[in-house]
Amino acid sequence: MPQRGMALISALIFLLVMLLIVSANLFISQMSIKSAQAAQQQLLFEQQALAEHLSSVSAATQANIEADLIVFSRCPAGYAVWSELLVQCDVFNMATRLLSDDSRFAAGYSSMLLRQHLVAGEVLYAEE
Amino acid sequence: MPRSKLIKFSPLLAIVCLTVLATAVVSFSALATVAACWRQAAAPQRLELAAGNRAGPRQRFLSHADWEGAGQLLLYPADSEVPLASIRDWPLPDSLGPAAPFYASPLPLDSNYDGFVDQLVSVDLNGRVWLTAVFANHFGASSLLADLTHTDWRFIQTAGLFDLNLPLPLRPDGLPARYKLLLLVARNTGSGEDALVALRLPAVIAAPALVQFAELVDRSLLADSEHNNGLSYPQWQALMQAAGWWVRLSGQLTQPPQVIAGVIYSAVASSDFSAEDCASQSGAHNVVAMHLHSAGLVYNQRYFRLANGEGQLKLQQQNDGSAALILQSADQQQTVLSNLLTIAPACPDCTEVLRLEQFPRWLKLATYRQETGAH
Repeated sequence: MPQRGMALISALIFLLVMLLIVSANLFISQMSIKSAQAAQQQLLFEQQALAEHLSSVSAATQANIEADLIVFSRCPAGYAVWSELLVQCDVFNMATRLLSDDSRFAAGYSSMLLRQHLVAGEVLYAEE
Repeated sequence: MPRSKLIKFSPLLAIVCLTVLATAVVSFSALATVAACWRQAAAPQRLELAAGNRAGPRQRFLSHADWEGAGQLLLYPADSEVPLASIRDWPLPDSLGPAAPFYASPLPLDSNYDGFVDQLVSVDLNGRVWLTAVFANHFGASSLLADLTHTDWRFIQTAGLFDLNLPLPLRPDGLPARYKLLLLVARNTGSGEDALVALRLPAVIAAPALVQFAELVDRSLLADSEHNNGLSYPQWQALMQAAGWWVRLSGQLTQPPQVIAGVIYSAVASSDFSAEDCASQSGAHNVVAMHLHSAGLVYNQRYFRLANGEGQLKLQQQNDGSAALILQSADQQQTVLSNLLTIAPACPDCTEVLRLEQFPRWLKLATYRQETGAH
């Protein structure tokens, strides 16, 4: 009965092929989920980097840093302007970088900040 | 020459002699009527100029000394008394020619925000305004921006060049938002009183239109309607479309005008001066305060009485963060104006209380992502 054995083997081979196809499909679909998650993770990471950058910008503006300021020769145009002798402007470039724990993602943000300040000595302060 | 011929030509000779004399008198009268005290001692100005290569800035000194009674600009290196360059011939409405002496210091300008001076605005005694390009070793081309020549006024001081930006509600249709305002001090040859002259210049001066004194709006007297109801929008629009304004100060300036939050402050002496003598510290003094854009009212009046003219006007921050204008002399301080105001962009004469505790003021110009690495 060689034909019967042949049919059984063919059926087994068919089943094996189907199993392979289904498992490959499963594997591929898992991969796609992973890659989808990766993109989402990167977006989240960049958002986190931006949030950290903005918070460090506001911290820097409150701390009144003096270092790394580039003195501007004149203040930008405005409506209620001041004499150059009384108010001067400088520009501060601030850059922050964030690297993920597994070193797979990196994001960097820069901000350009303008500081208008009263010229020391030109403005007096009332005594307490 | 026979005696009869001499007698025959004597009327002609007399006419020629008189014409020459009259020309000489007219040409020198402009200078002759100017008192010596009108000119303030001017030290050479230090300028930082771009060197062209990457060697860093070059330090130069700018002097506006006279040369045979005509105004000239000289550029000196930091370590030598031999000038590198000079300008004696200035573009006039129809040709090149000499300028009247420069009583006002030229104003250096950084037109491209690179941190180095690259242009100069100079004003001669007659009120001709030139824009000159300046480089590390030479002067560039000059162009005549305005010819404010007037028989009664001589231009003796510059009070600043301001970059202005009109907010949208205050911008007349078809007018660019940004422009420059040049503040000058002019003195009357007859009475010795001063006027503030504001000249509007385009933000980027490409092909200058020659402005004349008659094109400026006379804001010396404010109408009753403006005192009672403030500056109306049509008046504001007419002012913004004009070439500038001027205000007769009915006195002589004793303090250099300074602009605090859009308001011009200065002090004028209203007595003890004439065309020959400058005002002294005794006599009647007033503080003047006016809107930078319109020369209109910021407070309920433009003049405030001062007890005396001794000292210097200074800005003072009060304990509650508000600002006051004080007159500081060696032995005393006198509060002139308290609760100073700042002009506000909501309407032509809107104001707010000036708060000095907001300084230093931070402004975020831009935030951008650094494109490094591959994602």
